[in-house]
Amino acid sequence: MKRILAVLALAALLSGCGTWQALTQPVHGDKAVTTEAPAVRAARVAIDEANASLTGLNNVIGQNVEAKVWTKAQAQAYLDQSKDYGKKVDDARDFLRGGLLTEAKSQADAAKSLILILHTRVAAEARKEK
Amino acid sequence: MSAIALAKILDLGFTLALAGIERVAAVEKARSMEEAGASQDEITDALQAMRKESEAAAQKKVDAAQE
Repeated sequence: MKRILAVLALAALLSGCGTWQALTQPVHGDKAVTTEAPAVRAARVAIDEANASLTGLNNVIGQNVEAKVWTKAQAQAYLDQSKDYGKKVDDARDFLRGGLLTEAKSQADAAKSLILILHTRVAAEARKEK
Repeated sequence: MSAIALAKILDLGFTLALAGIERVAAVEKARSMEEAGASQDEITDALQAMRKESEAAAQKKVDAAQE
Protein backbone atom coordinates (compact mmCIF):
# COMPACT_ATOMS: atom_id res chain seq x y z
CA MET A 1 0.00 0.00 0.00
CA LYS A 2 2.79 2.40 0.91
CA ARG A 3 4.50 1.68 -2.40
CA ILE A 4 1.28 2.42 -4.33
CA LEU A 5 0.84 5.68 -2.42
CA ALA A 6 4.41 6.67 -3.18
CA VAL A 7 3.96 6.01 -6.91
CA LEU A 8 0.68 7.96 -6.97
CA ALA A 9 2.28 10.85 -5.09
CA LEU A 10 5.11 10.94 -7.60
CA ALA A 11 2.65 10.87 -10.52
CA ALA A 12 0.69 13.72 -8.97
CA LEU A 13 3.85 15.71 -8.43
CA LEU A 14 5.06 15.19 -11.99
CA SER A 15 1.71 15.95 -13.59
CA GLY A 16 1.33 18.92 -11.28
CA CYS A 17 4.71 20.41 -12.27
CA GLY A 18 4.12 20.09 -16.01
CA THR A 19 0.57 21.31 -16.00
CA TRP A 20 1.21 24.09 -13.55
CA GLN A 21 3.90 25.31 -15.92
CA ALA A 22 1.43 25.19 -18.82
CA LEU A 23 -1.29 26.89 -16.82
CA THR A 24 0.90 29.68 -15.53
CA GLN A 25 3.03 30.18 -18.63
CA PRO A 26 2.71 33.90 -19.33
CA VAL A 27 1.24 34.99 -22.65
CA HIS A 28 4.20 37.28 -23.27
CA GLY A 29 7.73 35.87 -23.23
CA ASP A 30 10.68 37.34 -21.34
CA LYS A 31 12.24 38.49 -24.58
CA ALA A 32 9.25 40.55 -25.63
CA VAL A 33 10.48 43.93 -26.81
CA THR A 34 8.24 46.73 -25.73
CA THR A 35 8.49 50.49 -25.55
CA GLU A 36 5.24 50.77 -23.65
CA ALA A 37 5.01 52.54 -20.31
CA PRO A 38 4.75 50.11 -17.35
CA ALA A 39 1.11 51.05 -16.67
CA VAL A 40 0.12 50.39 -20.30
CA ARG A 41 2.07 47.14 -20.27
CA ALA A 42 0.42 45.97 -17.03
CA ALA A 43 -3.07 46.65 -18.41
CA ARG A 44 -2.25 44.95 -21.70
CA VAL A 45 -0.80 41.85 -20.04
CA ALA A 46 -3.91 41.53 -17.85
CA ILE A 47 -6.17 41.79 -20.93
CA ASP A 48 -4.11 39.29 -22.93
CA GLU A 49 -4.00 36.79 -20.06
CA ALA A 50 -7.78 37.07 -19.61
CA ASN A 51 -8.38 36.47 -23.33
CA ALA A 52 -6.06 33.43 -23.32
CA SER A 53 -7.85 31.93 -20.31
CA LEU A 54 -11.29 32.50 -21.85
CA THR A 55 -10.19 30.86 -25.10
CA GLY A 56 -9.14 27.78 -23.14
CA LEU A 57 -12.41 27.80 -21.22
CA ASN A 58 -14.54 28.05 -24.37
CA ASN A 59 -12.66 25.14 -25.90
CA VAL A 60 -13.36 22.96 -22.84
CA ILE A 61 -17.06 23.89 -23.01
CA GLY A 62 -17.24 23.04 -26.73
CA GLN A 63 -15.45 19.73 -26.31
CA ASN A 64 -17.64 18.62 -23.44
CA VAL A 65 -20.96 19.37 -25.08
CA GLU A 66 -19.79 17.77 -28.33
CA ALA A 67 -18.71 14.63 -26.48
CA LYS A 68 -22.09 14.63 -24.68
CA VAL A 69 -20.32 14.87 -21.36
CA TRP A 70 -22.64 17.79 -20.55
CA THR A 71 -26.22 18.55 -21.42
CA LYS A 72 -27.00 21.41 -23.75
CA ALA A 73 -28.36 23.46 -20.82
CA GLN A 74 -25.23 22.93 -18.69
CA ALA A 75 -22.92 23.93 -21.52
CA GLN A 76 -25.03 26.97 -22.42
CA ALA A 77 -24.97 28.17 -18.81
CA TYR A 78 -21.18 28.00 -18.70
CA LEU A 79 -20.85 29.59 -22.11
CA ASP A 80 -23.16 32.47 -21.11
CA GLN A 81 -20.93 33.15 -18.11
CA SER A 82 -17.85 32.99 -20.27
CA LYS A 83 -19.39 35.48 -22.71
CA ASP A 84 -20.20 37.85 -19.82
CA TYR A 85 -16.57 37.77 -18.71
CA GLY A 86 -15.53 38.28 -22.33
CA LYS A 87 -17.56 41.50 -22.40
CA LYS A 88 -15.68 42.72 -19.30
CA VAL A 89 -12.39 42.04 -21.09
CA ASP A 90 -13.68 43.92 -24.16
CA ASP A 91 -14.51 46.86 -21.89
CA ALA A 92 -10.98 46.71 -20.51
CA ARG A 93 -9.62 46.79 -24.08
CA ASP A 94 -11.74 49.88 -24.81
CA PHE A 95 -10.42 51.55 -21.65
CA LEU A 96 -6.87 50.81 -22.78
CA ARG A 97 -7.54 52.31 -26.21
CA GLY A 98 -8.99 55.41 -24.54
CA GLY A 99 -5.94 55.78 -22.26
CA LEU A 100 -7.87 54.92 -19.08
CA LEU A 101 -5.12 52.66 -17.79
CA THR A 102 -6.22 52.16 -14.18
CA GLU A 103 -9.75 51.29 -15.28
CA ALA A 104 -8.40 48.97 -17.99
CA LYS A 105 -6.16 47.07 -15.58
CA SER A 106 -8.70 46.75 -12.79
CA GLN A 107 -11.44 45.65 -15.20
CA ALA A 108 -9.16 43.04 -16.77
CA ASP A 109 -7.91 41.85 -13.35
CA ALA A 110 -11.47 41.46 -12.07
CA ALA A 111 -12.46 39.51 -15.17
CA LYS A 112 -9.35 37.35 -14.87
CA SER A 113 -10.13 36.40 -11.27
CA LEU A 114 -13.68 35.42 -12.20
CA ILE A 115 -12.45 33.51 -15.23
CA LEU A 116 -10.02 31.48 -13.13
CA ILE A 117 -12.79 30.52 -10.72
CA LEU A 118 -15.10 29.52 -13.58
CA HIS A 119 -12.26 27.76 -15.41
CA THR A 120 -11.45 25.61 -12.39
CA ARG A 121 -15.13 24.83 -11.83
CA VAL A 122 -15.66 23.84 -15.48
CA ALA A 123 -12.53 21.68 -15.51
CA ALA A 124 -13.51 19.99 -12.24
CA GLU A 125 -17.01 19.31 -13.59
CA ALA A 126 -15.62 17.84 -16.81
CA ARG A 127 -13.26 15.59 -14.90
CA LYS A 128 -16.04 14.40 -12.60
CA GLU A 129 -18.29 13.48 -15.53
CA LYS A 130 -15.63 11.43 -17.38
CA MET B 1 -0.02 11.06 3.70
CA SER B 2 -3.59 9.82 3.86
CA ALA B 3 -5.34 8.40 0.81
CA ILE B 4 -7.86 11.26 0.98
CA ALA B 5 -5.13 13.89 0.94
CA LEU B 6 -3.48 12.14 -1.97
CA ALA B 7 -6.76 11.98 -3.88
CA LYS B 8 -7.15 15.73 -3.39
CA ILE B 9 -3.69 16.35 -4.83
CA LEU B 10 -4.44 14.14 -7.84
CA ASP B 11 -7.79 15.89 -8.27
CA LEU B 12 -6.13 19.29 -8.38
CA GLY B 13 -3.49 17.97 -10.79
CA PHE B 14 -6.12 16.80 -13.29
CA THR B 15 -8.08 20.04 -13.00
CA LEU B 16 -4.98 22.06 -13.74
CA ALA B 17 -4.04 19.73 -16.59
CA LEU B 18 -7.29 20.29 -18.44
CA ALA B 19 -7.25 24.04 -17.92
CA GLY B 20 -3.59 24.35 -18.85
CA ILE B 21 -3.75 22.29 -22.04
CA GLU B 22 -6.62 24.34 -23.39
CA ARG B 23 -4.85 27.62 -22.68
CA VAL B 24 -1.61 26.70 -24.41
CA ALA B 25 -2.77 27.38 -27.99
CA ALA B 26 -3.45 31.04 -27.20
CA VAL B 27 -0.10 31.43 -25.43
CA GLU B 28 1.71 29.87 -28.39
CA LYS B 29 -0.04 32.18 -30.83
CA ALA B 30 1.03 35.26 -28.83
CA ARG B 31 4.61 34.00 -28.54
CA SER B 32 4.93 33.27 -32.26
CA MET B 33 3.55 36.71 -33.13
CA GLU B 34 6.04 38.28 -30.75
CA GLU B 35 8.88 36.43 -32.41
CA ALA B 36 7.64 37.50 -35.83
CA GLY B 37 7.87 41.13 -34.69
CA ALA B 38 4.16 41.93 -34.40
CA SER B 39 3.23 45.04 -32.43
CA GLN B 40 1.73 44.68 -28.96
CA ASP B 41 -1.58 46.04 -30.25
CA GLU B 42 -1.66 43.41 -33.00
CA ILE B 43 -1.07 40.65 -30.45
CA THR B 44 -3.81 41.94 -28.14
CA ASP B 45 -6.22 42.17 -31.09
CA ALA B 46 -5.30 38.65 -32.25
CA LEU B 47 -5.92 37.19 -28.78
CA GLN B 48 -9.25 39.00 -28.57
CA ALA B 49 -10.22 37.66 -32.03
CA MET B 50 -9.13 34.17 -30.99
CA ARG B 51 -11.36 34.38 -27.91
CA LYS B 52 -14.34 35.52 -29.98
CA GLU B 53 -13.77 32.69 -32.46
CA SER B 54 -13.67 30.19 -29.59
CA GLU B 55 -16.95 31.64 -28.24
CA ALA B 56 -18.59 31.26 -31.64
CA ALA B 57 -17.23 27.72 -32.10
CA ALA B 58 -18.45 26.67 -28.64
CA GLN B 59 -21.87 28.24 -29.33
CA LYS B 60 -22.11 26.28 -32.59
CA LYS B 61 -21.40 23.05 -30.73
CA VAL B 62 -23.96 23.90 -28.04
CA ASP B 63 -26.58 24.72 -30.69
CA ALA B 64 -25.87 21.43 -32.47
CA ALA B 65 -26.25 19.40 -29.27
CA GLN B 66 -29.49 17.54 -28.60
CA GLU B 67 -31.66 18.62 -25.66
